[in-house]
Amino acid sequence: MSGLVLSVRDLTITTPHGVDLVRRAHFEVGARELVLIIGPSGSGKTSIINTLCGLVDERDGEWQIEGTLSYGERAVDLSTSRSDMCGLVFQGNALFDDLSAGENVKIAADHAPKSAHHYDAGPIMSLLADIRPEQPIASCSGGQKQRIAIARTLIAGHPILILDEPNSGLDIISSRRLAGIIKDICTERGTPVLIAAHHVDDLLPLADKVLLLDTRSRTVRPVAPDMGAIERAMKGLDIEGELALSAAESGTPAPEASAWRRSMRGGHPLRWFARYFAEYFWVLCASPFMLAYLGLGGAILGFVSMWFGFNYHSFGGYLKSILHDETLAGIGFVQTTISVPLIASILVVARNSAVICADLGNRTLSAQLPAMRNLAIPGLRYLVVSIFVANTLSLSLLTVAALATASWAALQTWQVFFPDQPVEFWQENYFRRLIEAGPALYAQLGWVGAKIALSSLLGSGAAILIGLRPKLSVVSINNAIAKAIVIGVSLTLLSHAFFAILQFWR
Amino acid sequence: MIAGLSMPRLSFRRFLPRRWPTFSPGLQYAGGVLVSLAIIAAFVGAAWRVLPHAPSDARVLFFREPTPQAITFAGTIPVFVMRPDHSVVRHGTAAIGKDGRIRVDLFPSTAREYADANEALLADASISVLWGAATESSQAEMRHRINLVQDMAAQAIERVITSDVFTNEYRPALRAMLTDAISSAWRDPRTQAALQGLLANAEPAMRRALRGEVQEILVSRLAGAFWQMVRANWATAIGVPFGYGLDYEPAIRAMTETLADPRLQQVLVNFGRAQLETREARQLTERIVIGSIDALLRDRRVPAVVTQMFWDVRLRAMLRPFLDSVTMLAGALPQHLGGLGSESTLNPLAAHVFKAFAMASRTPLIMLVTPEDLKRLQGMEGDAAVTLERVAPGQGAGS
Repeated sequence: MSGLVLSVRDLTITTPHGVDLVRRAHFEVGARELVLIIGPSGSGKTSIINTLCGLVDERDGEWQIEGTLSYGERAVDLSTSRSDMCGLVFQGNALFDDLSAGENVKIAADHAPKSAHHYDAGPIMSLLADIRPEQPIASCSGGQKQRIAIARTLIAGHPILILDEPNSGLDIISSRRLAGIIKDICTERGTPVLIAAHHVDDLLPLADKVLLLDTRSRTVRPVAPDMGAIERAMKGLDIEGELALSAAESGTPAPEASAWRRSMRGGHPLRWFARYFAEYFWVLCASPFMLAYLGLGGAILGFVSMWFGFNYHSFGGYLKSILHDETLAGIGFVQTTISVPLIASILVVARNSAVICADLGNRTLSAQLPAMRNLAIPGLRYLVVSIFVANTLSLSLLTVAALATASWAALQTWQVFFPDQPVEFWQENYFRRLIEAGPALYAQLGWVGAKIALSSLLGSGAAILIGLRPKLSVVSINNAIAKAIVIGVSLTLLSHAFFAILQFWR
Repeated sequence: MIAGLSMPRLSFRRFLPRRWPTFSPGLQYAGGVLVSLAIIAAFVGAAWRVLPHAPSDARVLFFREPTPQAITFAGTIPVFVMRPDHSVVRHGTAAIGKDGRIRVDLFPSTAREYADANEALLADASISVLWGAATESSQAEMRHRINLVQDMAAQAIERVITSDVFTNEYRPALRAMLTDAISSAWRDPRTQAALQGLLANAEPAMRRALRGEVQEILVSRLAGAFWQMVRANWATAIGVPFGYGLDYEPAIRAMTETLADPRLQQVLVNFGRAQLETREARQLTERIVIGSIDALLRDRRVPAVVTQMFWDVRLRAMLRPFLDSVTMLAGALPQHLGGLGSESTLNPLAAHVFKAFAMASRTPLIMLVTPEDLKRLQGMEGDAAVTLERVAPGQGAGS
């Protein structure tokens, strides 16, 4: 049993944007003490917790942090070092949903320091009493998930326990039961516990102390642990919310009221089809990354065809001189009717299958499709039709774009070989087979169109079917994405092979 | 100074990429649209660069043939230009109009660079064109090699024809084929028609004699003279594409010797020597020679005997020096006329000629040259190319 006190001194946190969240704040959490820290939304509670747990994300920019964190004989200068003394139970649990409940605990135990093995396992067992170790995380209730998360954090052996919104999303019984368990852990293990929470009703009876993050003075100050005192303190701080609510209650139009009224006015439902179509067309075709991806793919293909076509052939010298015209005409014809459509199809179908499957998988996992049904929105029709049309348009347009960059790269490579020759000579031979084809050119274009259409329909169809299957976790979405890519690309290869055989069947 | 446990700040998280500056969704979308538009503009630029454009009238030249319709061709004719170092690049395309005018559309990228090359030669795609465009050092090298081949060929044929192997094993078979060929040529209706022309004024007895005995005499004499013709023309034929003339002397000598045969002289003594120098007599002679060669070409026994001769190690040993010189000549042809070699470069003229050979195409070509190069090429090529006359845009071929 520990009798040590967590002490935070002169804590100042300034965000990368220069906003002071707290200035020279002091607070303590004693052994066997359960302390609540409260404050308005966005006041900086999570930032304080992240600072105490050494989890400030430096990718956001340069955080300015000062102050010390001490626990017994240990002390950390937060301006220069990260603290590893506080274990955090994240808001939303952050459980590894590709692992079972038991594996979630086991992985923490396997990475815990040896000193943590001496802790009494009794309180942890009480958290997991109604959960089977092999139980998938997806099948656990909200309360069970929260308790697994707490157990996982305790197993890791941190001397201090911090919880971020632990009762978020729990029913009142589960919330009270959880609060009791936390308090038991706190008393039995002598662990200081700090809880950041909005809904404190169930936690308040067990709290030893309540700290308020004062957004006016940017300090942390204690308030009496009763609801009346807390509400009065919070009302004084939450000015914006207070004003808005007062205005609504008094009938005064809120600043955004007119915008909300416009949103609530009825209109033609088909605009939502246009909205979804625009969204998919952008992400599947017109976004900069997609355009650059296909442009680059075409350019590399053009370079490779020309470079290796002329250079690394047994009769390379002849190809470059007396057989030049026919070699160039052959490369141009094959590149235009076979290679570029195939590579463009593979690139587009692979990428778009992933996007489609991820999009529909997330909609399935987050129950958006039932919500649409409930609101009488023909969501499936909007989404599926938009995807089919946008993907086919995407493949057609991007194949043309890839043809342009492939031809351009082929020309540049040819000019490296033959810097003295005029570009018109290249044009004459590169497109000769197509120009000489006459009316047969339309047949060739028809075959290319058929390959594109079938690849797009099969690829997007497979991605839609796989994406719409029930999803239990993020991992199942990941697996579905991988499956959609493999199946989509395989169908694309088969489509091109099938039509290529028909195209050149004599 | 704070004592106690602390973790250094250095960790893997330092190596994680920083988050990009965040903008409002509207600004992000607008930025994305702008970048997309820039990429689409790049695609359009790439397509504009690679696709052929319509020809501009500012870069058009008109020519006509000095003798109208000497070369007729309905398609697109490639136009080349000879550079000061005699290398050749493509320069445009041309078409022969219904009025005989030749419209030459120059490539925009080369029109200004070779503005002084405004003399035009119209030629068939042949080795002689490549020969004309070759450098002087290449031409000298090729001449040396051709002379070597001719010498080797003459020596090899001499050795083969006079060898015991040939005399005993191949000559009878070849003689039989020759006899059949000449007999076939003699029986050919066209030869008979030529003979009828010759005999139109002859006496009936003479006609019978000519029809009966002359054939037999011709066969025996011409077969003997055949090898003399082969010996001379086998070697000379190799140089024909480079401007060398065929040696007709052995053929003329053979026919003269045939006519000097005492038996034929006896037959012809009453026929009148004057009549043997008429046009009808020359036609008869030509028909017999042409018909014999034609019959030999169609005789299925010839390839078998030639193949057997080719693989006969005894004959091959005699032909080896000749074959070696041919191999050396063949190896030098692509290098000196086609731009092939260790540093292979594109010779579009050679590529066009090779394609014409390979595909049996009769597409002619036009070469634009400077007046100085025109004089040099005219001196070398003789009648292999036609020098075109420049005409004004509105001027017809006949004006």
